[in-house]
Amino acid sequence: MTRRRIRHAFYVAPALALIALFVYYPIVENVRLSLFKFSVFRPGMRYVGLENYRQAFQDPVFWHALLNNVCYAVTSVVFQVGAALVLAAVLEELIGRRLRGVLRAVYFIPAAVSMTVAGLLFQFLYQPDAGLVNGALDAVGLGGLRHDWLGDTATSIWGVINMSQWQSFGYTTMLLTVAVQRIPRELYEAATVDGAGRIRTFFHVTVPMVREMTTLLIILTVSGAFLVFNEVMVMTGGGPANSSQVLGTWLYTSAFTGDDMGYAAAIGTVIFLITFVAGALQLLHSRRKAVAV
Amino acid sequence: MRRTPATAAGCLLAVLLTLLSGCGQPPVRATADNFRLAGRPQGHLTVLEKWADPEYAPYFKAAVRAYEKRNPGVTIDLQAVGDQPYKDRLAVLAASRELPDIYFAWPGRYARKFADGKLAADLTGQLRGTRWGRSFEPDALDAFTFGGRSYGVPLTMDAKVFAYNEKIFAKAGVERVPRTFPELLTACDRIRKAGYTPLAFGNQYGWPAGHLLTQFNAMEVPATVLARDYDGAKGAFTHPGYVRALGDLARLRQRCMPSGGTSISHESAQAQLLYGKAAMQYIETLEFSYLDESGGAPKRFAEHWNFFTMPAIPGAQGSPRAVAGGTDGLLVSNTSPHKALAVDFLKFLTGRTQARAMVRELGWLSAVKGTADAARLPGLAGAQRTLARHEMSVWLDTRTDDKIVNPYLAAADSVLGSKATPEQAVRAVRRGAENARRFGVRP
Amino acid sequence: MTLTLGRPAPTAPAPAHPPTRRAPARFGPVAVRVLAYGALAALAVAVIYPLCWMALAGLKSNGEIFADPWGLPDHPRWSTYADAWHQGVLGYLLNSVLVTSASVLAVVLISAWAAYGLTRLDIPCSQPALLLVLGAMMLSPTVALVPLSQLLQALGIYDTYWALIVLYTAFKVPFTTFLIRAYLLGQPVEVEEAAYIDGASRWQTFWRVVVPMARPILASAAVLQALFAWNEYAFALVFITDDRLKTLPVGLADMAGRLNSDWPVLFAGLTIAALPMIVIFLIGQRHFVRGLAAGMGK
Repeated sequence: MTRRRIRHAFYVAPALALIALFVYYPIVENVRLSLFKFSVFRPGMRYVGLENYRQAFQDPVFWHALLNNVCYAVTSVVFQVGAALVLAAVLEELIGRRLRGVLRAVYFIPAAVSMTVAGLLFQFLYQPDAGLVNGALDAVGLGGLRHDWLGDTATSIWGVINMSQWQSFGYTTMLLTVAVQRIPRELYEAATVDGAGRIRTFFHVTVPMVREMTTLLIILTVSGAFLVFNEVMVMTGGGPANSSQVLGTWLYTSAFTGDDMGYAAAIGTVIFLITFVAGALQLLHSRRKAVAV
Repeated sequence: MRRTPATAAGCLLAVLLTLLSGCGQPPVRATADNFRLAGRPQGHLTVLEKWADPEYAPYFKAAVRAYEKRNPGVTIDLQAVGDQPYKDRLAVLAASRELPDIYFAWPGRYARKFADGKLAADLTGQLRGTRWGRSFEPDALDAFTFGGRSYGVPLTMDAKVFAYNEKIFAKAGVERVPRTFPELLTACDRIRKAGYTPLAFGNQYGWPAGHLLTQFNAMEVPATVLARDYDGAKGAFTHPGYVRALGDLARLRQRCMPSGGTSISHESAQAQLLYGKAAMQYIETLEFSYLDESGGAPKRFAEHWNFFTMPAIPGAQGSPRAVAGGTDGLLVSNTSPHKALAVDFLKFLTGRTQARAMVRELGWLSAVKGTADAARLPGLAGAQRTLARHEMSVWLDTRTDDKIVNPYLAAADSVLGSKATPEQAVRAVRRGAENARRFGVRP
Repeated sequence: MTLTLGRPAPTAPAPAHPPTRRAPARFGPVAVRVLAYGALAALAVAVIYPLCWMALAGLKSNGEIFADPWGLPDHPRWSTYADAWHQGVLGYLLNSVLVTSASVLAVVLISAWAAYGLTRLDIPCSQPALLLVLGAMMLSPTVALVPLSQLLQALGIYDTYWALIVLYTAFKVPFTTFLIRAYLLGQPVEVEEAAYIDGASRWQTFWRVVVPMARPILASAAVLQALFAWNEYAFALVFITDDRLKTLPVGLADMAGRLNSDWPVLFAGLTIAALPMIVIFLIGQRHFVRGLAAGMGK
């Protein structure tokens, strides 16, 4: 009996070993490293206690990066959940079946393109002179809004966030469409009989009925927004004047350009805590759902 | 499920704890400093440099092939990374103690980190007072000498100058090359009035502004003060020259640079110069090859350009003869099992023949003496004379502490974007220096 | 949740009630519809135009891109695409294919084993094991770049394909196990038991009964993993330094740095890199949507 149980354990062993070694261990080790000061170039580490966290607390770039992550999260929730839900509902309600499929596929295409491609492309589109964004503004008579989008500290992070919405909203729209399609038609019919208009129906039928999916999406989007790295790295590298730094890029910059590995580990721990909370909410959420069904 | 859960959990914990105690900063396993080849050169070398551009890469590939051909027992794995990612890439390699046998380094503190961390081989015995050592320009050799020990083999010499389009200058009525900074600004006004961008400038990477500040600081701040702030551990940046230097940058931004913005790349900005949209660009002499027809420049530009150094700034307290510049070099890894072979290859690469080939083919100034006459590129001889007449001030962004570089370049960014006054910007730099002192990495 | 998971997500409206789908609009139906069509079309253009522009820019000259960014190329230069191809895009593409397919295979296999073990077999301390696996879903090891690079170095797989394959697999095993486990919980065990009683070993039962039964969720898991591994950037940036081993996301960024301002070649390279995934998506759209829906734990 026991021998068989041990043999059975081999089914789970590879997964557990991988997770222990490459997920749990690095995170625990990261917390430990965050208590030290050390350089990649010199041997030896100096124990400094919570000094790295104090440093983060006093580091204006750290706070700015955190703020940028928050902006990223809020914008992403508004567009990738809010606007995407409206879009999904409009597609379902107003558009013929064939055209709907085509549109949905078109909206999704950017999500099939990798962030690096999208980032490098948009970097050009935002160029102050030859960029298409400024060109388009000129074309519609809004030339006064011409701007050095990625070069101005006030707009650089928004340039990146905007690109990211372009890239990702089709993905969430697709998911929300699936959710909207699962809403029983009877509810809409009942609402129509009750004399509810489209907008009221949207708020009273669609929104509550897809709450499961939207909650899940919000959690995923928020935790994704705190792990952002690729697009910022490719488009601005965190500049100008650190205006578009996010926690991920500030971690990388601190580690490999600033050569302050312990500080980078401390930033990593902060990101970890934030995403951990988001992840825990997600797990709780699906737990509750599992119980409900 | 009797005693097994406890056992399993115990095992897992034990594994984790073993790992915890095992890891940390890996030690540097230095190899013996044996630079004498036993017999014919033999073995395998890895080389990492930053000349991946399609214009430069072929020269280095050919040099490696030539060496391999001469020494049939040797294979060399040459890897080139772009200029931008190189710094990060090398830091990652240093962190993992996986440095290639030979690697590129910028002068100043950047190279010094490798020396201090015992990651770069001490080449003093090879370079000081030897025939090989005497073949280099002394300045270039000094750029990689720390505490009297030499660690790097210099390859190129570089200085920052204004390249300009003579036709646009003539059209705008700028009759002579500006001799003072105010004259430069006035020239910019004229050029703008004539419908051109006076100074093409793209600061996407941050270092173009860093280079300008290197120049302004060297002119505005006495060299001894600079050395204390840049190189010492106690950089305070309190000299008023630093504020003036950022003020110079602000004025240059306002009167000479494109009004649209400066977020484009340095290379995109160069296109504006080459295609006759901009009158000037502040470039490295190493970039001269791009201004030639052979480097892809249009004929109508290639035949009508010249250059001048940053004109003197009235009332400045620094050195009027300073020119921002540097010398690029190669270091030998201290953990390399093939130090002797690495040095032999570097001797080949910096030998007269090969160095002359570099000057001829790439249009770079070599750190090896007696090579300038090999130049085919117009302007290179002038560049050589410029370097000889000026005092080189090494790039701010490779000379200073890593932790000061980021705040300094950020301060430059905010001045360029009119988000901060020079005073505010210098305060930000001082805060950065203060942070570097308080939270510095000193094991 | 366990029940809905098994049901394939309909990609088209349920055919039972198409006529009632359109609720009769009571205010300006035509105006509303025209407005909606206009807005949706504009959005579609905004979404797709940049990509088409990118493909076209690969046929222009540098001068044309700057002088007339909106125009069509005078003489399409197909050679630019060839240049981009020779700039290493092929190598990056192959590396991406290799790393992606290896990690997809590994993650699906390892997770399926784990899910099978956790749902069907009596194993020692299954409860803590389950907690360990699912708990890892809440952790994102990307933040632990510093210790990970030391760990990979200690294991001697730094700067090899293995570094990425192992990390991509380990990182996504928890989530994939969670998906497959949920699916298996919703499936009847009778067939397996029958096979087992007929003398098949657990191992044989796994391959002959469980894997075919779980095929839809395995496919979904594979799709999600492919999407992740294909686009992953941070690990690929830090743990691979050899240019010959680089995957597309990092390789392309490097190429952009190398090419300086040779925009046409860059755009051609980006187009070549983007095309495979777009084509695969358009072909397998239906499965893709189902996979995504399942992937969200729906």
